[in-house]
Amino acid sequence: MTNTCKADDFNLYPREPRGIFGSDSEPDVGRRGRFGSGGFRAGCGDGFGSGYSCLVTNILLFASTFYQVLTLSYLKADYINTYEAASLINRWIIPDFVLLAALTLLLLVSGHWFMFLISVTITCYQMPDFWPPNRLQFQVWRIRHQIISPVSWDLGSGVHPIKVTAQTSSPETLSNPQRVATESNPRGPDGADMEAPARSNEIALESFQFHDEIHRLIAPPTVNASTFTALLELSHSRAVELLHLPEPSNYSAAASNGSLQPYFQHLGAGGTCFPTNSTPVERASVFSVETDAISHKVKDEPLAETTESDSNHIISSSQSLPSDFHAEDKGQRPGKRKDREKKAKGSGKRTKNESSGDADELPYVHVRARRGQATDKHSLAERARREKINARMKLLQELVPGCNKISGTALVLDEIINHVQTLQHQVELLSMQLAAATPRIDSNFHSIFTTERSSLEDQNFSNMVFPLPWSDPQSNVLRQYQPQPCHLNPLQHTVWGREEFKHHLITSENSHLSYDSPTNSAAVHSIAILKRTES
Amino acid sequence: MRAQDKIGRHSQRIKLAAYSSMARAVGQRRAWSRALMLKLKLSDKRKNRYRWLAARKMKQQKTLRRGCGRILATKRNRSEKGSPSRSCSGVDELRRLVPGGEAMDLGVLLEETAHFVRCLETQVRVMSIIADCFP
Repeated sequence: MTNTCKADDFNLYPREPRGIFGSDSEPDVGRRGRFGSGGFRAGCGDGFGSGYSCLVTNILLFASTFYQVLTLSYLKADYINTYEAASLINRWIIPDFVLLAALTLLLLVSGHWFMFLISVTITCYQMPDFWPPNRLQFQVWRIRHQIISPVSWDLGSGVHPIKVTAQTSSPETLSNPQRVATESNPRGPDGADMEAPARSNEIALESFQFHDEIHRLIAPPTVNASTFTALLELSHSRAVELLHLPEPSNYSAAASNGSLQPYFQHLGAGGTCFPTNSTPVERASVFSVETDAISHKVKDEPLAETTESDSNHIISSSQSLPSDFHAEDKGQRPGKRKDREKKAKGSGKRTKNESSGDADELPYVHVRARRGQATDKHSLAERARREKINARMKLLQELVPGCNKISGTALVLDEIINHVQTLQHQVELLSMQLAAATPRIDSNFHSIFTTERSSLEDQNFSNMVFPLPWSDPQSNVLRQYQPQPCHLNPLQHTVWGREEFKHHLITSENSHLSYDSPTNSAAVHSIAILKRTES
Repeated sequence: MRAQDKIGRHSQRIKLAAYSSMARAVGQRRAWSRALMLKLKLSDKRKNRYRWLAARKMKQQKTLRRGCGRILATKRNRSEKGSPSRSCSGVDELRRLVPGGEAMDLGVLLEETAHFVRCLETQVRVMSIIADCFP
């Protein structure tokens, strides 16, 4: 429409000098010129003014439309994401409307009645977007997300990824997969309250519930020695700590039971819950316990070095474990001993001892081939390595949902890769949502999280950088709890105890409600939940 | 354009913060967390100043880790060349995904993957809880 208008204008006033109009060089031009000249005399009195301004307006309108279409094509080709596309297009909505209104006026002034009527129609069509001051209309699209029950604390059901449904009101949809299948257990009574309270007034309540929510994530670890994955996460210090806690009685009792119970790992260790009973897990647990027996003895290895050995130094358990499981050790597969020995060789660089002595106390030794198999050094090594890899693959199969039915290493690997990529995309999507939800960024936000602070890991307490939602957009509050002296953080750090944290949260909430960060008044929302103890 | 840049940069920073906090929560216990923290530290330095220095440092670290990995790999896998064609591409892809995965043995890689997957799931949960706070 605007193009034709532009063409008309161009034909109408090709190259006439100023002030001279109505030349009858072409009949249609003349006719229009006469018609238009009347309008000119009535209006600008200038032959070219309104014509060229119409032309310029049309060119600008066309350019902005082209730019919007280009942006959408970029979106379709995945060069930009929907947030960027929306912000780009949103920037041009008002100028578009202004240009259209200007074009309408110019056409009215210059007397092109037909084109004026058309552009008036278009302007009136776009008017309801602007006249009722409803800002929602300005957005190209909106995403409404509902996050249902992020975790299922029912210990029998394994890991459930979050179900994210995004409903868009435009045909453009995100390229990333947004639906993660899960079944969601009903949340606790706190869950329903999360959406209910009015944000402006009940910030304390919200923050408390948030704390509650996070706290439910970081449940106290009830570590059970009988699962492989539990043993994976136990470090030496943690095991020692477990010894001193009042829990070790349960620990050893459960270990002696040998019953597989689901457990909660700590958040710092990637807290999830694992499915219960399965024979590979049981076998793997026994396998791992045997390795623990070794790693416990080679504990003097420096924990820092990793590239050399397996995670032997990570898989260490308390002293009570080997005694409980040694009874079962005798009847187990002798191939594991070779693997044990291999691990010891890897970590300790000890020489391989081929004697078939007492296998239980010494960390290395004791190759015992099975019946009908080659006793070659290399084949034994290879077999042990393959068994180790198979055990780890089984562990991964438990971890990734839907992998249990797949057989074949390549397919399982593909599934695992797919899962990791999905999770990374989810992180990116959530970060985009958070970026869109928060108003501004702090200039030092980046430096907080990327500077290396080695003291953080060594210390044996937890700290929590806590995002507290602001009550109203005007008061931008920066709240951080960090132990290190940070120039943004004069607040106290909190130790992660349930009651104290709650108390700290609510009181400091009141006291720092009007706190402005020294750098600027932007609100920074970030969360970094660190481990409770060294685990 | 400025709004788009702002949101893009903001989301980048949030993502970096998420990964950095995840790595720091795990600490030095895991190879992937160490690799991730190193990468973040070096990339942070690279963004600010002395790009050439940071790039050189990163290359040094990479060759060091790769050298260690190769040495140990040859020590252990003396006899094992089992089915490289079958699991080659998948394992390479996995090495690319898991931070620090290039210099790892396959067993170590699988274990780090397991831990990494759990940590990622937890991170996703935490971030979704945070995102739930805002409308």
